[in-house]
Amino acid sequence: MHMSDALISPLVGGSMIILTSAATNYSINKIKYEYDDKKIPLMGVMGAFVFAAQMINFTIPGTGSSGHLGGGLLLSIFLGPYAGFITMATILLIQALLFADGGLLAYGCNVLNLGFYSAFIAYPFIYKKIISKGYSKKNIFTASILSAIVSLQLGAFSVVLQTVLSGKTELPFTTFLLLMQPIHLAIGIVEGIITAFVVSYVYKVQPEILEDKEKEHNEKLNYKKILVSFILITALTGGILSWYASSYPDGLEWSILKTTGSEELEAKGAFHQYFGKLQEKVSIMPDYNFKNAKENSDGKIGTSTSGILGSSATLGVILLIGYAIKRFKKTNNV
Amino acid sequence: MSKLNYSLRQIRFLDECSEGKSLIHRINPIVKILVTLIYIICVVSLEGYEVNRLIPFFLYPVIIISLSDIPIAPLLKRTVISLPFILGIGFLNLLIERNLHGLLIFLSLLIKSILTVLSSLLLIATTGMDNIAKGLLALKVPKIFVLQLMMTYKYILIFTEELITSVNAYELRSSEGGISLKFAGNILGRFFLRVYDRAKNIYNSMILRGFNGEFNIGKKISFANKDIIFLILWIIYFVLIMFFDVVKFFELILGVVT
Repeated sequence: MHMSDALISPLVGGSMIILTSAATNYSINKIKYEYDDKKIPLMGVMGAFVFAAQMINFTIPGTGSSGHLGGGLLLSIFLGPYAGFITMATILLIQALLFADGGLLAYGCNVLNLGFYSAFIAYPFIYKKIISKGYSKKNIFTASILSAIVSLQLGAFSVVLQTVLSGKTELPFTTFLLLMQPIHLAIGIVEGIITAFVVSYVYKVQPEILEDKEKEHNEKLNYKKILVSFILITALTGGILSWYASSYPDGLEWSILKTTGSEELEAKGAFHQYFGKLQEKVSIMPDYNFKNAKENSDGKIGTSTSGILGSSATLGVILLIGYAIKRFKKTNNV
Repeated sequence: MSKLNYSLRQIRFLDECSEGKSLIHRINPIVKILVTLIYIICVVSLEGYEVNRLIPFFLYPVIIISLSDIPIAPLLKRTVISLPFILGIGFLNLLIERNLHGLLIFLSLLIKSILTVLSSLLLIATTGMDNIAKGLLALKVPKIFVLQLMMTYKYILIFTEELITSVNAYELRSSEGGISLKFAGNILGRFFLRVYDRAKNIYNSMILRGFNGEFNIGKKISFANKDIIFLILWIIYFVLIMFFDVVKFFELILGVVT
């Protein structure tokens, strides 16, 4: 479910990086505040643990399919939401750098989709609420499965939203959504079960690890701030969304038409216009942004097909340059 | 299991690559991070149907590969492995848009993926994690984040090896293929407890060696003329190919020749 660079626009990628950096900075300040330097090596090894554990595929009896751990929820359970979020963010950066799982520009999207929701939505509002009734096998399983389902559903929804907002494909919002959500329901259940098995094993063998954490994390999460920042994120995304929906007469609008019955979202105010202007200013190539995409596309198709020859010639020259460099290096021994 | 082995090989491969001494390896990591990011932003800001405009972007990976002597086969293999998700999306789009536009979007998603994946792999292969960390610190990424990144990176190798041993032991004793979901707790839970104990030992040894929350990365990175030239030349090239249709130019030349 890692978001890749090819699917997003610089605007969506950039705003997600800004949003998640703010969340990372906030979490870092929180950790510094409750300064516990024992946590630093624990975060480091837990990151490596989750990274390695994600690679084991567990077979699901009777189905022939398999699933693996995502880790976001597990990290929050053992490290608390702030340290858990930072640890997940570093895992995602390593995956993007070393394995090209999710791109560098899409990094912010991935931190939001795979890290933010489990640490700041599912863990505090679902997992902790259920576990506060006491540790039992039943509670651990209900809490883990529900939390994993919710964070994966939110993550999948974000993937759809980020893809549609970027406008690099013509996938209609609802079709993509109807495809993504059910798949991630199944993935969420498996992730929840694996997490629950690990937590209940640890609770059975060394309950003090979880009980200590319970005391440690109590009352430290500022619900009000989380709620405010979540509303802010929603408003910001909504701002981009509404500006986008009215300037791009396709895909998203179609789904808005279906769901609300009116073709455009009511956001034609000053805020909306401001974002429109801002986009024109910051866009690298104003002529090529998606505003004109539709009008240009028919003409462009013509040039694209006749361009196959030109493209091959360009690619040929590029490869020749590469070959020449190699030859030059070999003959001159540099 | 194969994934665990594969990841180990991938990390070691990139680590070995980063020890090269080529011109590209010696470029300042901050500059390389910036060039890679600018490159990716330029590539993804092109629209779905502009396949032609993407072709000139191949010059960047081609030049970096030929100058840095990075073996090309493993890089391409990793790039291919990362493609299925994007191909799936492109194919889905093609099902909805069964026309030339859909095909162009499919092609552009494919090319964009190859370009962005190659450029990020080349960044790490020519720079190495230690230098990336230095670059990130210089770019004002918080210290705790970078420290956490490096610790995770260092322990991934150790833990992956340990996990391979556990999985091997399980598979040798099991009659069926794969590990059943119901043993997730036993394998990962046990593994977690080992890791948890290890964190305590690591903390103790860090304290004994004078850890005070600071993160020392050794020699500072410096800028040389070649770094500035590298940065400026690539920016000029990227801006040029964003505004100037190179493919059209070659088409015209071909037209004149024939």
